[in-house]
Amino acid sequence: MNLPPMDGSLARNALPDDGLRERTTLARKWAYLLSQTSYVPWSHSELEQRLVVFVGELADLVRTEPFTAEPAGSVGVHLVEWRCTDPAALRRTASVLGKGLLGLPELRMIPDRAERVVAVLVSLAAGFTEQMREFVIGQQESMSKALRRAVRNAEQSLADSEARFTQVATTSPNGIAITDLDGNFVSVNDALRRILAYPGEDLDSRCIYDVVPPERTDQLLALYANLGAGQDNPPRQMLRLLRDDGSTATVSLAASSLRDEHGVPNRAVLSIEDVSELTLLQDELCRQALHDVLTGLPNRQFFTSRLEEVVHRFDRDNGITLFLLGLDAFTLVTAGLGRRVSERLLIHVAERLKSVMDGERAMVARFEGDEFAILVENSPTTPSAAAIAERINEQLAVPVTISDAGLADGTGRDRGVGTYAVSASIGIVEGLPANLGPTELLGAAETTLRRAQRSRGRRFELFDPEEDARDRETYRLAAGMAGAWERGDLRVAYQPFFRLSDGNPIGVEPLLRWHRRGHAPLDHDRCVSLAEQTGLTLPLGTWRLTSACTTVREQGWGVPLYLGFTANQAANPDLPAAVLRALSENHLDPQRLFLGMPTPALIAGGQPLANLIALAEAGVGMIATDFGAVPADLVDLETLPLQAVHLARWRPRRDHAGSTSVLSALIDTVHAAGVLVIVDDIKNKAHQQWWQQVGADIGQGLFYAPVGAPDEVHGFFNAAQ
Amino acid sequence: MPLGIDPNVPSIARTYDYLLGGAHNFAVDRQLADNVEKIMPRSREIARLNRAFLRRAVLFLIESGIRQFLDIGSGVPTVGNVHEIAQLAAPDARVVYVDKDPVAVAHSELLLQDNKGASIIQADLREPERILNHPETVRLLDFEQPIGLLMVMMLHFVPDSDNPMQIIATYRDALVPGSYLALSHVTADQRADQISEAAQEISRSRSSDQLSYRSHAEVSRFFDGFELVEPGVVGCGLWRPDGPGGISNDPDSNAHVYAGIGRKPGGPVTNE
Repeated sequence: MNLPPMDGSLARNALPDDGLRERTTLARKWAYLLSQTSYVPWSHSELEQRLVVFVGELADLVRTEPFTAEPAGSVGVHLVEWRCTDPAALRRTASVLGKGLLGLPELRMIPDRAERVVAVLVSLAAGFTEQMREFVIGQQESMSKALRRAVRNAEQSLADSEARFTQVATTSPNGIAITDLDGNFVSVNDALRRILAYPGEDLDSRCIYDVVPPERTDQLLALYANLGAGQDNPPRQMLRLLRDDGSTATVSLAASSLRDEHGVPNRAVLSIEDVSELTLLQDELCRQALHDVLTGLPNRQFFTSRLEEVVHRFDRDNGITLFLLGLDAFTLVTAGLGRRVSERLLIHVAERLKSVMDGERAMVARFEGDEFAILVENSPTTPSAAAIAERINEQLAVPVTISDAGLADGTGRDRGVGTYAVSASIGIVEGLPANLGPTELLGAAETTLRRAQRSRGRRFELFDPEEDARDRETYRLAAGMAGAWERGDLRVAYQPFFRLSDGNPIGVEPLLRWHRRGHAPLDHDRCVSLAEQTGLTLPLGTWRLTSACTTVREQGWGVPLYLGFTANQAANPDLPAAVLRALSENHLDPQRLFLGMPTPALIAGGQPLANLIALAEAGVGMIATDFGAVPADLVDLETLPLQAVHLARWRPRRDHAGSTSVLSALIDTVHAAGVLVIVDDIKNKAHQQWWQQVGADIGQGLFYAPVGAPDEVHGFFNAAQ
Repeated sequence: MPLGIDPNVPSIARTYDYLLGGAHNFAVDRQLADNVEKIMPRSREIARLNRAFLRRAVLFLIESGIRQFLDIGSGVPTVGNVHEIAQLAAPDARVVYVDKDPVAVAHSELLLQDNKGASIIQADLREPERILNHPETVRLLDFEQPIGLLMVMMLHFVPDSDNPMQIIATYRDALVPGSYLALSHVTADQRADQISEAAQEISRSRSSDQLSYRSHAEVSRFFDGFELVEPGVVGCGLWRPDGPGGISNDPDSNAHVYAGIGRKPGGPVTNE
């Protein structure tokens, strides 16, 4: 059984009475299991305390003569009242109590205890079931009460809402009309009178078919039929309406249905936007060459003007989504397979993209080279952007065979013939981020695409304005990192570790620091995250280790070296060899080195775990870093060859009592496995005392010593010797 | 007038009630919950973890000196309601609940009939002026004093096209310094497959609420103008867990929902 971290205070305050201790242990198991099935509105220790009482009552029942099981029903009743109504709650209760009660030492002397325990549990289950019935009936009763009340409330607010609707209609720049399902106007607003050039009240007595050209009547009839059949938001449509002066207005019309008190549609609300000017512009644009010759898809100009138009009139309920796709490694395809094959592949990609977007209001376009764009006007049934992105890559991953037909390019017939699958990185801008015009939208999609292309293993990325700005800064820094390393601006600095109990320095950690002219140096964490993005992470990791080994040897420091690796570094299959080489070149004993690997990487197993075991066998001390973020950490302590764990950066604040007990329980568990606890970021005396009190062993931070060059930290290790 | 009380249309509030083990729900709600559970087998656990976060959040705010709560999207009353948690810890605590679901509102009205310190109004999060100026809000909450604004499992039903940033800014401007915003929000940063499928399931149902899950950066942006308290925006199971009921052994379950609490800067500090 996977027990939770025990509440340390309970364990320490256990009463001398054996019987009570056993009951407490049982109640604690029970509490853990219940807390995994149902939400109870108390702290965990309060739940445990309540269950201790129940365990006591049940044990007393089994013990008492003459025996009766019936009162156990009240425990079942209470469980339901506490809302532990999940069937698993009863199942786990029966199972933990069945075993647990039989195991209580206080009941061992009772000869027929097995029968009695069964009887008690049956009675408990009966109480639970009976109460459960009451509970459901009670809730359904209050449900119907609430329903009646809701209907009454709704009737009252109907009058208010009609007043509100009138206000919306008067202030809207769009034409708004309410009609019955036969198309007769029930009410129209001034904006619609303006669009249709009907003065005064003339429009009110007409019907929608009076202003629709005869050839479009069917379209409207179908729309009304759909509304009548219960479709709430049919797609927006473009339509020409007849104006009173004989001219026409091109409008975009959205319709939705109103329902009567039985939920049956009885009215239609039409929202009508005048788009005449836009339409003229569109006609103009259509006369220009707007398509890509190779794929037949719209080109960038066409796409941009569509985007411009859509941005001004899209359906606010569902929004629009912009996808920008770049084929992965397509320049390699072109270079390796020739232009003709790559052109065939581009045509193929165009076909697949069109098929994915089939049935949506979408435009698929090809930009230059291997870049495609898709603009989707979402409907209620449009899949999410993430789902579309996944479908695109699924479709592209289906291999396609390029035969030699039509490939004769005179340079040898077979070049490039074969079966190919491609993949795309996708930048997505969803909805309409506030204040973005068409150009900005495309720009946003482009940076988002770059981000997707950069991050390995994630092939699509949603737009995020803040990340956008951060990205540009990060690009600049990351691009300069290799140069900085070469120039010697990237250096290894050191920060000592101290034993909390006596304040003696007992280790030192090499940390990266990037010195930049006119700027504060970048700290280790920032350097590491930049290195992770540039592919420098492996060489930098090895360099940091080697430099540190050399420094320790040259300076003659007598304390061990501690180095934390990132998940990528920990997964490097060459790591053990590199570590042992660095040690032997500097004549350092493996026991002088402690290496940290992130706990999540260790839990996942694979290469990091294999490296950990190999290094531990070679005598290197191993440390699990980022420890304590997930309870699953506990599972591995017993089996892994660990010397220490390094707690994750986040820790509860000193004054947060609830978390403190969880933390000291965690630390107790770590200690119980014979493993030490390292913490960092100790800023002041109060931090230090607090950590010492909760049981941490080793610490680092400004309170003890800042990060410094070898000379600056040298004094600490002299004093120690 | 969409009444919103059609028992053939699922309601998110009632579906959530069912996932928490309640019986204030209809067959359509249970059907939706069951379908979502097929996609995300740990749905019940996620609902439970979020409910546990709500409890810790209310207790944290009480510890920080907050005595007034505006809980938007409170849902069907169930176990561990905000006023119960708050008034147990601080009997003078006052709570205004807001929900748009008429049945949830009627339920709450029945439950709160005799509670002088708590009330419910029917309104949509997207109408901040209406909520802030509602007679019940004005009666129970003193806007000269800090307020705890709760939007738990709420904002992911507000699509970007409704401009949630602007909406939150309106609420923020109404709060005095020292007030807090606590929220939780579904994300697809982990298990994007499950979440997007669940979103589609909800979109296939006739519910009027659709899921707009958001990234860590997007959720963090809701705290613009607030100072996040530690540990920042994290999976709701990881927000200061205080026992095994509030955190899961399954890292994904802890992280499907982001949670965070921010403090509007300025004003007296009670918890530092």
